[in-house]
Amino acid sequence: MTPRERAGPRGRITLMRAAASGEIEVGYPPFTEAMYYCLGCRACETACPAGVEFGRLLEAARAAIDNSNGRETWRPEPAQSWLLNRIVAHPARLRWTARSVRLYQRVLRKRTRCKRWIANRFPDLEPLEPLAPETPRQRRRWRPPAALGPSDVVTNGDTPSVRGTLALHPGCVQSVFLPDVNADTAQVLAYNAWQVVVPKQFRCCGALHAHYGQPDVARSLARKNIAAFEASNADQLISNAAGCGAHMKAYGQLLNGDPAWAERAAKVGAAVVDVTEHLVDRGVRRPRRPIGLRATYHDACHLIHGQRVAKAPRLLLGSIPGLDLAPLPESTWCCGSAGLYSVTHPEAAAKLQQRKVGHILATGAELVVTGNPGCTFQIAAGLRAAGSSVRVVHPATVLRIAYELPPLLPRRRWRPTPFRRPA
Amino acid sequence: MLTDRVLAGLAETTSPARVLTAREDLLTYASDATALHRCVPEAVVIPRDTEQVTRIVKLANEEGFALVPRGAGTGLSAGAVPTIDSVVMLFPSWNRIVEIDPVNHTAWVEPGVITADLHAAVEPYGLFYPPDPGSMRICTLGGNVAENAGGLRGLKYGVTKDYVMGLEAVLPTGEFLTLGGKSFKDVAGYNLLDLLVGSEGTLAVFTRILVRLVARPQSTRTILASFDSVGAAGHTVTAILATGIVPATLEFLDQVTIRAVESFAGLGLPADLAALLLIEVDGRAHAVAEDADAVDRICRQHGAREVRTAANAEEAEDLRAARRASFTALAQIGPTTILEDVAVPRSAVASMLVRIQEIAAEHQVQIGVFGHAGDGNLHPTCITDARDAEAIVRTEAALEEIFDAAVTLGGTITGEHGVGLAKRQFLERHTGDPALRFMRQIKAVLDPNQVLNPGKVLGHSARCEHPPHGHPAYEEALA
Ligand SMILES: Cc1cc2nc3c(=O)[nH]c(=O)nc-3n(C[C@H](O)[C@H](O)[C@H](O)COP(=O)(O)OP(=O)(O)OC[C@H]3O[C@@H](n4cnc5c(N)ncnc54)[C@H](O)[C@@H]3O)c2cc1C
Ligand code: SF4
Repeated sequence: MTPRERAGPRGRITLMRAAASGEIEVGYPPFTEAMYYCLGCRACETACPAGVEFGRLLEAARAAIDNSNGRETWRPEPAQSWLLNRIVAHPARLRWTARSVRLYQRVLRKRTRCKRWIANRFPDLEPLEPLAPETPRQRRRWRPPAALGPSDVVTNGDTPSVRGTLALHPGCVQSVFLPDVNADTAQVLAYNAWQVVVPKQFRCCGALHAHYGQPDVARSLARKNIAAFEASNADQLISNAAGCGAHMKAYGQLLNGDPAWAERAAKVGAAVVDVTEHLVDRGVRRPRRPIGLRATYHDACHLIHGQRVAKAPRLLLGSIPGLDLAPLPESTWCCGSAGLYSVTHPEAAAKLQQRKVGHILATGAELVVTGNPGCTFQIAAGLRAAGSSVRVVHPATVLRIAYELPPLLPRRRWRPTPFRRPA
Repeated sequence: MLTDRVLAGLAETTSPARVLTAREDLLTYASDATALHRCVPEAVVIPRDTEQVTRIVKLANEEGFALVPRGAGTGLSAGAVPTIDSVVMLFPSWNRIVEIDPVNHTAWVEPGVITADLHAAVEPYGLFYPPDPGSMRICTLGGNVAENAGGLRGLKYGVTKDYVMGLEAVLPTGEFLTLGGKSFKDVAGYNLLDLLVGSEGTLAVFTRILVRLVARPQSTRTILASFDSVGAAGHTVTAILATGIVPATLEFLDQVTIRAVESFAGLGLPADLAALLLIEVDGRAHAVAEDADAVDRICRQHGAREVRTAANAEEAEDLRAARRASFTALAQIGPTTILEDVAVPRSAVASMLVRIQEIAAEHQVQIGVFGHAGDGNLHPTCITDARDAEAIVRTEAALEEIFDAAVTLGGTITGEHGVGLAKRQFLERHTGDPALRFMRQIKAVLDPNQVLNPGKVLGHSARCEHPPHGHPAYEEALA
């Protein structure tokens, strides 16, 4: 967006070095700004000929800024860390927050006086409103009945024998706002003869905390997740939210300064796979139900740049009969969601969002498939604003439908019928 | 220090927003891709058009400050690193492809166009722009022309200078100059075009470039051959070229590089391999098939352990992976990577490789070599640590010997990265007197006030003024 060196990865690294050598102060506002203007999309890692791990550097720089207690920084610091530490890190509190958001969305928003009162009382919240996803009902957290196995989903014909146990990390944001994606993921895995468990003890993966300068909270969350995964005795840790997956894969690096945990963390990190990657690597059943729609695939930054997963989801989608997968121009460009970026830098984020939506509409696709909740919200909000009815879905959801599995959770707006038969 | 008058003058010729003086901006233009060279400029100016470039250059002559043109800053000879009291000139918005002429096979481009963007833009016309430096996704055509950049396809297609047909440039005195044109042949007068191509930003600022395009080859075949000895790989290269086949690409990786690539990318390359050759032939479909078979046969005859030919584009990508990852993989081994660039006659490639191994052992420096075996351009890459002064001294000593060896074998100290600051002292040592004097005289005539990228390529005087040791920027890097 800005052709200046300091707004690019190399310039940021130069500034980090300057800060590390004391040439500029860590609390120097332009430094802080440069570090937080970055999306953290890690596209630069894919492009870098020297294999620089920009994401790690960025996290370290942001943590240094947070520890510097230096000069005043421009971002809404206390509110943000409060949200991350006190709400997001606790599933129950997050669910209660979601309930109030839902109350607002379904009832209060429609009453003008109420809406006005809230807008006056909390002016900061207003610009966030269009970004908030439609919040589903928050019953108990969705979890498969103890475990979901092939026999629970395969009703036609012989039940295959179980190939292994997988622990599904539900993702804090995903389990609150998109619980059906988790249900679909579990079903698709079970249909492919895997036993799926969702340990109760899983917490937020800690990615947002690490990206936003709170490494201590991130580490403590990581320890909880590591312990929970070990206790589950599962072979692999399945992630279906790109941001969580990319972060959990790097648990080893996050905890490498902690002798008691370093080894365990590295082991768990190596066991993390994205659901699409796992399905393709280990073999997948061919879907039979044709889906006569045109779809397009958006590469979530943390899937393609953070985890180098690009082929697997496309192969899965390509295996669905009738699905017309149109290539999306600039599919690897960030949609502008980037964690909390859309909240902290609305203008820059909006530009990326509009560009993305423009490309999607140009493909003529009726479905946008993407593997990250942040992208889902950001793109869906952009499409909504453009008056489009194109839907944003997770690859697991599309697969579940193509497998002809009935949804575990009551469907919301998107009902998969009627389908056009392919010509 | 620049005077306020200079800054005011710059702001007046462009606009205040186009003159950067904030510390956080200046720091980011202090270096390019060259290790160990760094100097913070006094200001950065971003001209909008040729007119503004002219006025800035004139101002520099009047006020006596230096101008350093900068493309993407991927140069590997510190050509775009500022010097004392200098202003960096950027061309970020000069990125238009002004015209593509499918009849004459030419394109007019602005200097800020990214090389890979030009590749993509001419593709729909069935044309192609052959120079493809490893940095093509970020480097600019201005920088390519200034460095006379090469690439993986140099053996068959040549380097940037073979594709520059015309230039619009501003001379160091502020005069505007047009050279060349779309006519294929042109011998009117001295060949100034070739003088400016490869001038490393010291003789002119390019404002528009006319490049030659060629028809895209109908088909390509990619072959990867592995060898148990460097000698066998060297003989294979010689044998292939002796048959008259000119592969577009003939790339080489040595054992250090192969091991680094293996531990970085895990491609399943055996650790005891001594050399890999990546060979690509292109052209008309039937000729390509014949050439590919011949190459395959020659590799086997010369004792290749394994020869793999890609069946489709995807497999070709897989075969290229090792070569693509070379630099990345080597860069992972240590904190500082010094990528060097010697070139020798084809016949001397094998001896050069042996010499490099000896020198590396003697000075205890880890050196991986990969490069363009077909055109004799090798990239010995030293893995070292800029914070360890002792290691740097050893590395420098090793590099010096490598340069000497290249020259002794009838080669040169740089094949495609240029002299810049990094190799100035070696240029002086290895260039005989009349030639060096002519170079100085040319610079003095074109740039009497030493405003354009002074101190690059040639020192101000016959003696090397700033040997790397003791240079403030160097000391700073070591600190
Ligand atoms: C990973 C990597 C791989 C590389 N691979 C290759 C390779 O295969 N082959 C190869 O030849 N090089 C290679 N290089 C070196 C480098 O990319 C080239 O030299 C490239 O041409 C530099 O372009 P740039 O735009 O970055 O120029 P810069 O580095 O910004 O500048 C280079 C020189 O050009 C001058 N300059 C820039 N713009 C102008 C202008 N408009 N007018 C006048 N002078 C100007 C500058 O003053 C400077 O002296 C590689 C570099 C990297 C980092
Ligand atoms: S992470 Fe994304 S936004 Fe940040 S520097 Fe890298 S490419 Fe740019």
